[in-house]
Amino acid sequence: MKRVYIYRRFERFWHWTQTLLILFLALTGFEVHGSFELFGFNKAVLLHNNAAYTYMIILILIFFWLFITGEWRQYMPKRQQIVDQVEYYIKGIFQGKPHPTHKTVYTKFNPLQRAAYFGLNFIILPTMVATGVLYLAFYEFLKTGEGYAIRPIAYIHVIGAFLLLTFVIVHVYLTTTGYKPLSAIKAMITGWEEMSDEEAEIVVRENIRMAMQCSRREIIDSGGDEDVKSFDEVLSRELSGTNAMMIDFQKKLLQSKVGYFRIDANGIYVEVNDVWKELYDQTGIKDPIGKHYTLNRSEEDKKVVEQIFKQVVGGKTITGVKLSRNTTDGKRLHHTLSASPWYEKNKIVGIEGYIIGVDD
Amino acid sequence: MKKLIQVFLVIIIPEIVIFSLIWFINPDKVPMPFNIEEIIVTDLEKMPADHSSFEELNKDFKTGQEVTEACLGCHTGRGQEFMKSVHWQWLKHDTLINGDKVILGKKNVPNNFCIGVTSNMNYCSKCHAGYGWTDNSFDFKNPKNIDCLVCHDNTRMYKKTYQGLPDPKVNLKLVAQKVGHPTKQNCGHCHYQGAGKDNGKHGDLSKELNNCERDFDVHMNAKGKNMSCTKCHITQNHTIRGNMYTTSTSNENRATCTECHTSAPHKSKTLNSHFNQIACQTCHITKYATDAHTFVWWDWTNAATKKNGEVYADEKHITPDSTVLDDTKHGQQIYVKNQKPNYIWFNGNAKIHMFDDKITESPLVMNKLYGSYADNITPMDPKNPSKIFPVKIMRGKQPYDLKNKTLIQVNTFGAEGTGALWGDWDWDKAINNGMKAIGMPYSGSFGFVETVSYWPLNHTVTPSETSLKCEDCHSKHSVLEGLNKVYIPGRDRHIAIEAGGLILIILTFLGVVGHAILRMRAKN
Ligand code: HEM
Repeated sequence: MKRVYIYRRFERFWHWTQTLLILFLALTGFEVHGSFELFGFNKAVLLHNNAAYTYMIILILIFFWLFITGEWRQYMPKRQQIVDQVEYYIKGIFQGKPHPTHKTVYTKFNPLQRAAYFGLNFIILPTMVATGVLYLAFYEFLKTGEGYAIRPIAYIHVIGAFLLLTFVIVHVYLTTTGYKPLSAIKAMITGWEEMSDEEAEIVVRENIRMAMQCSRREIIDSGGDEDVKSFDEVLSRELSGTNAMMIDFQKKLLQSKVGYFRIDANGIYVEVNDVWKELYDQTGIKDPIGKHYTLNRSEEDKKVVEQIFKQVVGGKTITGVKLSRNTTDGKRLHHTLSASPWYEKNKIVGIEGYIIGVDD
Repeated sequence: MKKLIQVFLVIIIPEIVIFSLIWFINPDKVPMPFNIEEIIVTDLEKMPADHSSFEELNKDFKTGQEVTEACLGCHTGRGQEFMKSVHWQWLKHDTLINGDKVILGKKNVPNNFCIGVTSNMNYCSKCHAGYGWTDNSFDFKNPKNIDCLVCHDNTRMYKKTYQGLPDPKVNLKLVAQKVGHPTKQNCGHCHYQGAGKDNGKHGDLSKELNNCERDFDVHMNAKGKNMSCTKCHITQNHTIRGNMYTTSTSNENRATCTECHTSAPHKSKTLNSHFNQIACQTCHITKYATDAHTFVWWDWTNAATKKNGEVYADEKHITPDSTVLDDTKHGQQIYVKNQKPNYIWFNGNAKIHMFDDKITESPLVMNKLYGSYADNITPMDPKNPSKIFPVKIMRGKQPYDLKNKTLIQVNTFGAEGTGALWGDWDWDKAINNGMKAIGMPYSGSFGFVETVSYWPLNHTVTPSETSLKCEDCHSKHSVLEGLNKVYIPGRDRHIAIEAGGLILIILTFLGVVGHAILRMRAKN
């Protein structure tokens, strides 16, 4: 089992605030509706109104965040694989088949989730807010002689409330279909999701690939004089959900036991992190800085890494190539490698990349 | 550990903060525009002069008129002033919602109790602020006929009897020397006694108000402010503020709550926001006729019939609070106690059915109170949008002219041989007398039409503790049962949405449980 960082801090904060607020609004709302007695009508109205004002503030923050970060793209429905996902839930899941899609920082949602969350965030919630605000503003309008009928507004609000409750039930249930029943919920609490090794590898690899694309985008951008338009197009077509804010991603990625390295144009190691060192510990290489990348490799491996180096220095990004390394006591260890060019002032001055051990 | 701290910082602490705010902050709270305790009820109870020292009043008065003459001797001009008032004329000018002018009052308006005053003035003028109004020949221009004492007696000994004359037992000299501003007792002398008994007509006016507790009426509470009627029914130059929509058609010259309490009298914004839809009375007058019975039904059909040739009267209790009286005099009456109001939309405009109006409906509405939910949302008259008001509803059956389709004035009161219903027990004679007196034709054939009248409740305002609570309207057991057009959260729901919503949730739940079971089975 491995753990991968999926949810950022603000994301976790708003998710739980939103959850509690919706449940609380449903509770007080349905008391106002006359479905049961709990706080007393008076208090229920007060609490519902307070929670509603709070929620509207939180929603403004959420939407602000979604648009600033570009995360909103993750909510745009896409048709690809939607059938696979449905099939999985009605068939595959019972046969122990793997999820047809993977959860990464960049594509957190499967196509069904996209559809559902799109409906939630961009249809139901705005409707609830709109009808709620009309409900709140009713008396002000009435006072100025601009009254309107509250009945249809209330009906829509109630329909929305029922749909939200339905959503909550399905949503909570589907969170149990992860690696372990509580994996997904834990992930939303801590930010780190547990997954199987294979899944984790795919996910981390995917994360790295995206991260590299993005950092490359940033590098090109900071160079300033190159036309980045076509690059952007490629990028957004490829990702359709890119996260442009990489704030603490690098750090988190490294905490997922990913080795990081940087090699200059001559093939000399410039930088490696501790995980890299750990992974290479048994090979007898304690400190590679200043040494050539072919150091201590078998003839066969040497060919492969030379091939890779040539490609990447030539401007390509490669991901998930499986490689091996020899320990001092003659064993062979395995890892996957992803690498992309290292730019400085628009010129490739080396390569950088990540390795993930796959042996344990 | 570090992770735990993060979870605390990112999730738990923010949620605690947010929900504490939601729970404890009360943005609904607003200061009252004033402190109730600080309202000063100005004291007018003392007269500026001690009348017992006046030579003019140190006389053995033989008649009321003599007293009046003495009064007017000093209070010059007051007679002319008073003779313009409704208390004298029993008529006033009013306007209908379409702008038409009408002249109406007790004198010419039919009701569904004793039907009408004309031809019965010997009896009805007991409550006229004048002396000797017995028939159409009464001189409304003669100030000597004014009865000053009925309103200004402060001894509580003054009484009026038939034709509006003072009871011969009254010591007029003493009463005249002790005059003062009108007290509850003065107004109550007539106004508590509609239809002949406490609470009879209105249901919210009885002598209990003279000396009541706080939970009967907060304003008139004898141990509290002990306000007199004129504190709200402000009087200037003998013109008294206040109207009753059984004899009025427009929202003019009314005594209103807002005059003292403003239009935002609560400490809660939400409560204040009800102002545009709900009359103060709706929440603050929650019951009526708690101390004495009020009439709710008067069916004249069997009046003037006898049992075995005898005049009869059978009184039966239907429930502990309601009694039915079958008798020769009235036909059938039902009177009840401890009533909850009915509620209607009302925009302060009414139309009164007059004797010469054609009857086009059954039950015939004697006083149509205009208003509807739609008129609340887009009011015809933006200054007076419809609000929900509490009313007492009076129903009955009374004679009408089968051919002319008009209500009939009946001469009820009179001695045997005069043709009055209660003298000779003969409908035809009584109707002929009555119709002649109001100058209307009578075709000779009559039937009985069902009638209904609405009596807005304005008195016996009870303490806030006993006013309606949110749930009294906002629940399935809403007291506003009949008002179905307005949407009231907590009371109203759409059956299809409710059923659809519940079914959706149940099916979803079952689906999820089923899916989970299949998953577990597949795993094993
Ligand atoms: C920010 C969004 C929302 C606003 C501004 C809002 C506002 C309101 C208002 C003003 C009312 C009328 C009663 C009162 O004054 O308290 C109301 C009723 C209600 N609300 Fe909300 N609300 C919101 C969100 C929600 C949510 C998320 C739910 C449920 C999940 C919900 C469920 C209900 C229900 C069931 C009623 C009773 C409707 C009725 O019976 O007429 N509301 N809401």
